[in-house]
Amino acid sequence: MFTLMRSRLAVFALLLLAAPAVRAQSPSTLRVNVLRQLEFGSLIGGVDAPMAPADSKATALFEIIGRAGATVQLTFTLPAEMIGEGGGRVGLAFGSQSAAYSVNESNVDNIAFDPRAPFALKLPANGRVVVMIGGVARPSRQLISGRYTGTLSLSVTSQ
Amino acid sequence: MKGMSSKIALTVAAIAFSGAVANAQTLTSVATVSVSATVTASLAATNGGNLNFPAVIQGGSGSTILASASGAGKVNIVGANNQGITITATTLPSTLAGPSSSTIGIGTYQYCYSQNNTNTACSPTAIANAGTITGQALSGTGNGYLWIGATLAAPAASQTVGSYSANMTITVTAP
Repeated sequence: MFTLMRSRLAVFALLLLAAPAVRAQSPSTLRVNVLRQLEFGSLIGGVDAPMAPADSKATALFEIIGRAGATVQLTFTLPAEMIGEGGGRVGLAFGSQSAAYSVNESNVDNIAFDPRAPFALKLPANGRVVVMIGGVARPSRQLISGRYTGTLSLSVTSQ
Repeated sequence: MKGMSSKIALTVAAIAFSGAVANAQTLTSVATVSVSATVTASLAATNGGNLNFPAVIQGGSGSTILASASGAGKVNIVGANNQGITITATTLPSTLAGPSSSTIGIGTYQYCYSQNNTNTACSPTAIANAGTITGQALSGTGNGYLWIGATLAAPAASQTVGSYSANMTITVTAP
């Protein structure tokens, strides 16, 4: 009886040791990679430059990799403007169709969504989704010629 | 023995709790991209007024309109604040065309440039066809004004009566 009990205790001890190992692997099940930067290209002062998420090769492209079937929440941190070397600013705007996602990294099957609010989607069987985002750049007529830059972030959360 | 059962029960509870924490763990991943563009400031030149000479008489004198006069031709320029510009007199005609292929000479062009919308204080500077005006800039609000004057040749005694005209072309570029 005593021998049997010791044996059970040994089994439980092994389980307890195994549990932390399972938890340590969890963070690697969700990852966001940058595939492409957002480049509006050449702008003319006074002329708005809209860029739909799927109609250009210059939209920002992210790759989300996680557990198949997991629901992930996407939250963008969107810049209000790009800033020039001389301090000038180019306004940026994002609308209800400025972002999209695709399970096949294709312009055909992408589904548009509003990047201004958190958005949830379910990862497909291969656990991979590509997210693209465009927007509208609004250079004023009075801008000085030059390079203007900003940053845009995508945070992806899964439970 | 009862005490041992208790210990086992506690161990099971601990395992169950551990599993619950792992399932509820929130995973977050963040990526950042750059957003960029190259801006070319807009620059536009528009007709602000034609150069109209008063009527001249067959065999009479010619006529001169200075760039500093109210009747001078005018070009309005808009662009970026304080933007440097180069103005080129791309086409300054040497004749005006009239009825029945008749012409009358025009020349001795001069110009005035100002960041303010007034030419009265200007001393006109001569400019030839295809000549350039460098070293100028738009105002702090992105405006510039160019006036063009010229001299109309004296009409011949047999000059065909009628209206004569030609086009001037002014090109403005940002250097």
